[in-house]
Amino acid sequence: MISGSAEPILNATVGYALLGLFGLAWIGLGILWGRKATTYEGYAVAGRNVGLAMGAATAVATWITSNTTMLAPQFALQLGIWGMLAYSTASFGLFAFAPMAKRIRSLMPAGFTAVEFVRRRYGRPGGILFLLISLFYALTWLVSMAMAGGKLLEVLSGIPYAHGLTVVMAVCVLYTLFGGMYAVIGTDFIQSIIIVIGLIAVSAAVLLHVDAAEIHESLSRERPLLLSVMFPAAIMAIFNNMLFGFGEIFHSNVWWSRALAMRASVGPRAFLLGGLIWLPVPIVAGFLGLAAPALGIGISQPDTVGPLVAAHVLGSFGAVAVFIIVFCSLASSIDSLLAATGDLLAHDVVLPGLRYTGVAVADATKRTCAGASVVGLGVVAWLIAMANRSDLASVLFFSGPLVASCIWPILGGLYFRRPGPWAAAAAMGLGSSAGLIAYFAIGWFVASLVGATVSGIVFLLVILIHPIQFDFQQLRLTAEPPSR
Amino acid sequence: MPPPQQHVVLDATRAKDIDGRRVSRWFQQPVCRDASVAAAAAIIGWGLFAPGRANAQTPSFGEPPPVTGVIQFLSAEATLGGEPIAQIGPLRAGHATLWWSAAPSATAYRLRTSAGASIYHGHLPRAFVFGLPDGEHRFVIEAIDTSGEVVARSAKPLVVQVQHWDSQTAWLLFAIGAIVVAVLLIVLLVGMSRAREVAGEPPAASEQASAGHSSLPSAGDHTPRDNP
Repeated sequence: MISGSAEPILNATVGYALLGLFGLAWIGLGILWGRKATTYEGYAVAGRNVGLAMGAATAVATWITSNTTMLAPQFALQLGIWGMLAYSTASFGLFAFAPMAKRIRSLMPAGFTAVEFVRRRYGRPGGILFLLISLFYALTWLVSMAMAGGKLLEVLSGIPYAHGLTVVMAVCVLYTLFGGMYAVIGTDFIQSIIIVIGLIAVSAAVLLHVDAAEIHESLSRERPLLLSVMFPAAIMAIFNNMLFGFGEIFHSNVWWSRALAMRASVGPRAFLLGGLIWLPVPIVAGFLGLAAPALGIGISQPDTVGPLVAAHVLGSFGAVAVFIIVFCSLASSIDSLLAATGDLLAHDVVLPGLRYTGVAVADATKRTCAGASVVGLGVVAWLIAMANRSDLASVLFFSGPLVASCIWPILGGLYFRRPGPWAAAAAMGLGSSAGLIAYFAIGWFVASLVGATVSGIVFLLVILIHPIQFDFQQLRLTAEPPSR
Repeated sequence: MPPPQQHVVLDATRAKDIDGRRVSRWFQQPVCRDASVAAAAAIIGWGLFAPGRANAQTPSFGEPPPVTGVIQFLSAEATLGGEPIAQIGPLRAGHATLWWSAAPSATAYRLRTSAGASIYHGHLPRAFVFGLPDGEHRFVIEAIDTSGEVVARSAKPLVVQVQHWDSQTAWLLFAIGAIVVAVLLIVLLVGMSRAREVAGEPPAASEQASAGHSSLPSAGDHTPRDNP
């Protein structure tokens, strides 16, 4: 039995060369595509003219994060077959968001962010609470991916954690800064092709080298629980994960900015197609994790088992392929988060602050603010990730109940007139609190479920007690109505 | 790899371990890493020349050979301040990361179950164990040097207790989750259906607005029955 150990599986020089090659390519493309981003609208939502191919590709590339390649195999090891399926249910969020994308585009034809929707729909208190949840989620996701980048590059090639982390963040910040949403969606298109073809090639090659029957027999003999449909923690995790995925996609500006960037008729098809392409990815990645025991690979860090199995089975080819897939999946998610959260900071924090102080906000000022927000966000995430505290990555799971408690206010707010500010604020506040209590009292695998359930019940009760008749025309105005 | 432990623990007494097998343990005596070579030489000398001690170096069938170093299982990574532990659990999901103190001369570690099966052989002083069924599981760790010799071993096995969530609780939460998701999808479908019925969301209007940035809704874009 060999180990998932500190021995790198790829030469560091090769690792640096690949980083340099792809990093320069992304930055070059960012500068090239950034020429189109002459206005704030171009920079933030790519001129609202993204087509089906680019739209579907950016959905796939954004959703295939480093977590998909790292956590899906870990889920398979922790929760068995159910774990793989539970992770793949995150694609259901994309399916559900498909019709919502059309609605968002229709209600807010000139909108920019999810926080803007909540602020206009539910007023300032709900907007502030939603902004805090959005920023917490975005920052923890960004930090966890930056850390994952440093860690994976170190495991794969021996590149020191700080170097890998710094290069990944610097490359993503630079091309997002230059190209905005044009660069993000353009690079996502290329990255999604590399990721999908790479994953298919690696999985096919692993299947050629490993006997699936042998893996099944090994698991049946040594760890039958992983094949059991009666695995208690796994049974609990299924819908929890699904609701976490719903919450992530429904609330996050990463997805709203894409919905607002796509042509009106494109959004539903792009998200549906993106979800269908993404659905098998965690199952493929999870399979790599389950193959580890049969291959005699002892595991010290469960989140690195997928890349290690691929590299172990396929040798240098596998290591290079995995390195490229990992770098692309990291970049495609980090750039999306930087762009979407940078816009959110600029549009919903900095610009309102400037307007409040009486400063005239020109289009160029907005673009400058968005760029500065991207850089600031990147620097903050880099500083936090440099601490390399293993407990930091787990903070992302705290956001599960927080985002799950946003599901009902978003869904209800988009389609129904009755939900009002009190219903939204109470649902988000009480749902988040109950979910966090469940997180510590029971475990992460029930936190989102509890958050979504309590939030839904509270939302319904407050609507029944205190309904309003919201006029959706307020969302279509380009100038925001006075705050309630 | 984390820095090696600054102290090793030695125990020269013999006692039964938790598995009931007789093992050699060296009496507890912390020594600095820099002095470990001298300590090891003294112990070997004592073992070779002291009357009545020779047999202690030749274990009987089934006994692991004596080693000089003792490894301790820790509650967390040593660099994060992990404390020595004898047991963990009850684990409710059947998996855990096991940590142990680094042995100075070790180049690899081997984690074994009480049945003797090796489930991890690697360089890092930690292993992820998973898929454990209900019950008590015992693990021992061995440190191995470059020549493949065992140079240190856990004094006592780590006892890992596993007690999964009961099926009733699991299926109850599964059912709640299924209901919440079903309600969510019904609400979404109802919302979509009603949105289609009203004349409030013509795609053309959104295209126009995005292109021209009209600050006012178009005439056909507004209706009091805009949405449910």
